[in-house]
Amino acid sequence: MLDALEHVFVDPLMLIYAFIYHFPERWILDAGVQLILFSVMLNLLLMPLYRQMEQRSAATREIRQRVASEVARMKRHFRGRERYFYIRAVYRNYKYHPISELLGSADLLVQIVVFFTVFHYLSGLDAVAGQSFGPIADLSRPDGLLGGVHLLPLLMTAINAASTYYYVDDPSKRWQAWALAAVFLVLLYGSPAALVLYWTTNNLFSLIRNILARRMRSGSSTPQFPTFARFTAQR
Amino acid sequence: MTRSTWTCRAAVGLGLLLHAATAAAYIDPGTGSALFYVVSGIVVSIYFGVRGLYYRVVEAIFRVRYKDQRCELAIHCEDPRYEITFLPVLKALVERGIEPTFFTMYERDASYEPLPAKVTHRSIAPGMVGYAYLNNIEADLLVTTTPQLDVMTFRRSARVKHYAILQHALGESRYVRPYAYDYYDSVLCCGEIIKANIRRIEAIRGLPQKALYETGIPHYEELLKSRREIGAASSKPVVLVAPSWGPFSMFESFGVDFLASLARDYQVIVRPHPQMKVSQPELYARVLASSGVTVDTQRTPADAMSRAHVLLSDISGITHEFAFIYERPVVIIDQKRIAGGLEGDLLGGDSELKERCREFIVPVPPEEMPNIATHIGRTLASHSAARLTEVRSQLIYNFGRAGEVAAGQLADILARQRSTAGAV
Repeated sequence: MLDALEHVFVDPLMLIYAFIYHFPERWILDAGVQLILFSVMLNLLLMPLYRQMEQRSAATREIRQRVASEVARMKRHFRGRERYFYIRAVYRNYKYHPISELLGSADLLVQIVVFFTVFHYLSGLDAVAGQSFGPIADLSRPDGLLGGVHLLPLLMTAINAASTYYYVDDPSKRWQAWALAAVFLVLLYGSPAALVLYWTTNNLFSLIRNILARRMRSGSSTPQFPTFARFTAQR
Repeated sequence: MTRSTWTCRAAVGLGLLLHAATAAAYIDPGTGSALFYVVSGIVVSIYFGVRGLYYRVVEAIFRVRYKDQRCELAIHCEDPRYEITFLPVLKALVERGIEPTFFTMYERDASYEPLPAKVTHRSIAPGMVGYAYLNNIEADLLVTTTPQLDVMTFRRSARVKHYAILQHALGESRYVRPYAYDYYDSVLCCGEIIKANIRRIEAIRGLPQKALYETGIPHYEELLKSRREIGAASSKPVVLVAPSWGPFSMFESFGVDFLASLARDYQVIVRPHPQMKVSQPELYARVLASSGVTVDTQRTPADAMSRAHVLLSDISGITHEFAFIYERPVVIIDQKRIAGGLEGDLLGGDSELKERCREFIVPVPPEEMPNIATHIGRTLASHSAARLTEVRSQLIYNFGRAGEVAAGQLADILARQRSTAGAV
């Protein structure tokens, strides 16, 4: 059963990832550069989809905020039975139902699928075994560039920290996000350099793209990337 | 890669994802985390499902189709005090050859005014059971004075083609509870203020425009019948003190001692609210024991109002009736009403009705209570009945003939519903 599902849903994506990864091979033979290009190309290909999802989630967010404000007003002034019915009326007025959060989370599903399948693809990528990239001797192993200390996870964490600094204005929430970035550092510290290189590039791409998007939309504080792309920017 | 490695890595990935989802809540508080909303969506849906189960079970139990639920024009009267609104309309409908069915949520005994011939009366249970019945009737048109259709337990029946609400008092939307008129097909409006209020709320909530009729207040006609001129001139002007009850009422705020000082300059009739006897018995007893004043506890205020030159109160209902029916001035203690949760929250600002009526329904700030006799004197001296009737004609549609107008409008709606049904 699981095999069948993997054949139907996962294998086609593996083929696409393989095509994207191997496409530059005729010009570039360096596995590290290929990984960087893979990350950039995948992000570029997903950009229209992410943009569409972001627009949709922005509309949902606006309705959710209005509903939350009206529900809070009802909760402030009414109790029990009245409160229950008025909140129902608020939902009706905005054509909203809490369960719609599930239906509206299809974009999240897309992001989860991309995350898992890319993780799956890179984890099984034999092409990086024994391949060097600049000072990294073997991309299939942790880099150990700083006298045995791994540089890439530190770089990834530095980008996470920069993203947090850029996105989050609230100091207490900023510290919380930095603390979480430190947790990810611990979790990914021993991962193969290929995987960390991919995520680091991914994060860098997201950060630069959001900086540019914010500059273009001066006055707007809403990042352009969808929620999960921002998750990855934290990783 | 082996399956176990893949599963292990997927688990690590999931762990990261969940961590990251939590992180996202911190990253962008405006956006929030999609996962958080998914989880909260499930929790709130379950809560709502369970919370609403009771109401749905009651509704399902009473979703029985009775033979007597079929009628053409259903008129629903929730409480005996609204009969006075429906009676002129019922009479006018019957004169037009329409035979309405009058559903009351109380028993009508011999003490009630007999209903016009050809009006079928059906008494239904009060409260949720009565509404469960009403929610399943079959009619071309249902008319009521009860707001909040499809909001609380009063729901739309799939077999009623059109719902209309008739107003039982001069008012404005700011003091009604949420969604009061939103889901009616038409509102028979008392005046231009409520009409404008309803249009504004429709715009704020993005609702389709409903039919708004310029109707008026039918029960004013019944009050006009009981109106009498002031009898033989007394040595002092008569002040009727008729406040509301409850924590914000005049007696609760200022006690009863002001009655004695008022009685030095005026003849005072005190009419304590009947609910005071139940809810504030001690205060009620103190009012009854007041010296130098006449206490009126008759069933209706008609006699006391007929005798009074001026009314001192703190609420709107009786003040409008006194001013517009008797064309005499009113002094109200202007304790700011907070629109907490009411439709006034959306409308903002202050009462338009209060502003438009302030020449003859004179608001006096609470801190001026020690000088209330002076304010009453000034109000009596400056009162212009002509000006009052001019404002009345601007604020209230079809004064003195609203029952007939309402019947005509309902007959039109009914005819349209019938013709639509015929076309179908």
